[in-house]
Amino acid sequence: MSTPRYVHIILTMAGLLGLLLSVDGCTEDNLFEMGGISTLDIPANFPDMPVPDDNPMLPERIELGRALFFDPILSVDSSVSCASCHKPEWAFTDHASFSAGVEGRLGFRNAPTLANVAWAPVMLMDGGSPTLEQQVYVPLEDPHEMDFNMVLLTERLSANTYYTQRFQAVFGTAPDPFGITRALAAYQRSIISGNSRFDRYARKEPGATLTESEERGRELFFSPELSCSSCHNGFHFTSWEFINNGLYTDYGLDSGRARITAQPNDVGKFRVPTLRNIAVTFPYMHDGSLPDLEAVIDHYDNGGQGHPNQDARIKPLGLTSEQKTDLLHFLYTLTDNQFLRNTSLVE
Amino acid sequence: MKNSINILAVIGFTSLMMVSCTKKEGCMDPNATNFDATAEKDCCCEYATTFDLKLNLESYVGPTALAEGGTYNVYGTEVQFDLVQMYISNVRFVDAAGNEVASDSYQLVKPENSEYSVGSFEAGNYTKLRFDVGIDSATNHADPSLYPLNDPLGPQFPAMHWSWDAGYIFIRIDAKADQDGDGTTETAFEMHIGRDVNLRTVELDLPLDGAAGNSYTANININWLQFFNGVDLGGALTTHTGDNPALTAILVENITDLFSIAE
Ligand code: HEC
Ligand code: HEC
Repeated sequence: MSTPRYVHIILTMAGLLGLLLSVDGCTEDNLFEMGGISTLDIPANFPDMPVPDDNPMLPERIELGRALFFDPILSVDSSVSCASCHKPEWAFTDHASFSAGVEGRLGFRNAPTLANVAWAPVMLMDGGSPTLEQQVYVPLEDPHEMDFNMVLLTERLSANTYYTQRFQAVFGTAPDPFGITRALAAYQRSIISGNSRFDRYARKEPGATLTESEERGRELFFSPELSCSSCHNGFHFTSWEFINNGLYTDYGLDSGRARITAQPNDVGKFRVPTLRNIAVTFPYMHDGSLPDLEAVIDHYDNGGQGHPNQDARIKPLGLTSEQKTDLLHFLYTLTDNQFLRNTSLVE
Repeated sequence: MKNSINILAVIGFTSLMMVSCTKKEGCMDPNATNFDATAEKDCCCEYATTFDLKLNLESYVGPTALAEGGTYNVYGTEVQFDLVQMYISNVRFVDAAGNEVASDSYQLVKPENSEYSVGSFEAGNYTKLRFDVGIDSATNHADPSLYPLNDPLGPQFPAMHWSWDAGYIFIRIDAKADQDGDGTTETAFEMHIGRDVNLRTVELDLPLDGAAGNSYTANININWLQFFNGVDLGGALTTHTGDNPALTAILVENITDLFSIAE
């Protein structure tokens, strides 16, 4: 029996009705329906969602954010939307190592999943942006992504009848940076994934089982010998720490965390990524340099390249080919098909 | 008879009171902050305890006034300045004992504007003016979306804020240099300086007996030639602070030398 917990949703209807709903232990997938987006079912094994005071999870904000997320109007030449690089069917990632921004320009990092981004304590692989609201400026103004500007976007949306009406209804103002960033962040907080086969197994839901190979893979993953789970841990399979996992001896132009701190001992450190939906979010690592999970497992089995900042837990593992297959099968159980098909997240 | 005199006296007193009631009370001193030109009875005057300050900032490259888009000789190399912007904040006066009085304001300085109102200061006798080039750490990492679009700290076009390393760009120069000396400025470069550690405090001698209620203008010159002092003009001229630490260090060292009190 699933026992999803629901976030407190403040629902305002036509500005007349204010309702505070708080339901625990509800077994339905939908708490209530309203205009497509209505529920925020937070899985029972997740902590409470941190929500900033100035951006409550109002359904109408989420919906406006969803419209913006899928609209190329945000890029300088109206060619690229957020969803161009964060594709819902691939857990809001892209299969290119580097995703094309306007005029096909390429950045230098692999688009990460946005699943459960509400819980990320800082944004970006190097922690350079403090909040989901402020992060909106990153793709918007990066010449390799949307190459636009917040002042110009505000002007463009203010000349657009659809958006002027929507912002008026949701925020009571013309489109402005506050509304744009709040709506996009609220929508992204609604991107929640916690119903993989492994989740249902871990929650001991009826009929949720693992195959023998998956079970052996699970034991390997959580074993002190492999120590995968010392970094990829918790409900989101990440400790959120900045770690050098020995991908390179020379990280070249992308120094990771050191890009922000300018500290030599932060070179090559990246925020530990989640492993949720990992089977569909290839290619892997900050630069998308590893094409498949076999290559990732080989990387860990080899014990890393030996960068001076490499974490001591990355060391040769001596895995047999059967163990590698088991580990792979376990990683496949982290795919949340319900999430990948969630039509309420798509415009 | 006695009775009627009494009644007259009462009427007289009452009418006196009525006259005084219709006289409008207000401050009749034109030097007061609440001076009321229509007042008939003087009362309740309030006097300023502060003076106002404007900065008149004129931008130059050497002896020549700077206009965006213009080309100037920078230590022998022709440089076309397309964009030159800078944040100035925390303007304060210092008295002989070293005490500071501050006004809380942020200015985005552009060559095409010279006048900046920086607010009011407690009246007093001061010897120096201090201000920061840059933005204090708490404000530097706050969310620009919380300010209106016309606020210096709000979103700007061209942007004066980095999102990927959240914080304001304290100084932004976008320019082109004629590095090969062929008469065309072919090498585009960007000097974008930010981050808490690069905030610099400028101190200028500015004796002022600041009287309450007055407005003063401090005339200050900004000589952008000084910014390039010690820079190898044939080398790489671009820095976004973190990606060219050597060049950044030279430029940041030069910040305090940009400013002087106008003669
Ligand atoms: C051109 C491709 C591209 C576009 C367009 C794009 N992104 Fe991204 N996104 C990326 C890449 C690459 C990263 C990783 C950047 C990093 O970590 O430095 C990223 C990171 C993020 C993150 C940080 C996630 C985390 O866990 O830290 C968020 C949130 C995000 N993007 C949201 C958006 C939004 C909202 C839009 C539209 C306004 C958008 N993206 C448009 C490629 C893109
Ligand atoms: C010491 C911490 C640590 C340990 C132990 C660790 N990882 Fe990682 N893992 C990381 C970091 C950090 C990254 C991101 C590195 C990068 O992007 O350059 C990463 C990336 C990955 C990725 C790619 C994710 C993506 O979206 O690109 C996978 C898959 C992965 N690890 C699986 C594992 C497995 C399986 C194990 C155990 C064999 C393991 N990790 C052990 C820290 C660790």
